[in-house]
Amino acid sequence: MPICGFNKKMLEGLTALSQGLVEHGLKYRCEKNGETIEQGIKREISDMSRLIPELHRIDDTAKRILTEGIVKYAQGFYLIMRKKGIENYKEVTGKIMDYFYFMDDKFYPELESQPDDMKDLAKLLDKKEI
Amino acid sequence: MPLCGFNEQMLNGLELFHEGLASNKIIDRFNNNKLEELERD
Repeated sequence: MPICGFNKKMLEGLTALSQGLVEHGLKYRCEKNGETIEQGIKREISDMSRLIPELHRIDDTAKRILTEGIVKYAQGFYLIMRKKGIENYKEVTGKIMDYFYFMDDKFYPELESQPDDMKDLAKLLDKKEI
Repeated sequence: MPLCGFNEQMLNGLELFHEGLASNKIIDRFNNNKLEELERD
C-alpha cells in the first residue's frame, strides 16, 4: 500500500491541516504568547518530543499509533517550516502534497509487488525534494 | 499544547483526510472484492 492511493479529498484534508498548523498553531499562538515564529516552532517541537516517549502509556494500539502519527506529522511539518520559512507556507504545503502524491505515483504503477518494493520506495523518497 | 491547539480548519482537514481514506480504498476494495466474489459465483 503505502497510503492506498491519495485521492483529492485526502490531499485537501492534509492541506487544510497543514495550513492550520501554520495559521493557528504558529502565527496565532506566537502572537498570543508574544513569541517569535522561531521560538514558537522550537517550543512546539520540544513539546512534541516530550510527548512521544510518553505515548506508550496508551494501551489501545490503534489509538496509540494514531496519536503518534499526528504528533509526528506536525513535528515533521514544523521542521520543514523552520527550514523553509513560513512566508511561503502555502507553496511549501503544496510541495508536501506533491511529495505524498509522488509516493503513491511511484509505488502503484512501478513498485507494488516487486521483491524490494518498500526498500526501493524509501530510497526514492529519500531523493525526492520537498 | 503538543499540537498547538486544533482549530476548526485543522479538524475539518483531518475529517476530510479520514473520509478520503475510507472512501478511496477501503470502500473501493470492499466493492471490488464483492464484485469479484459475484463474478466468481
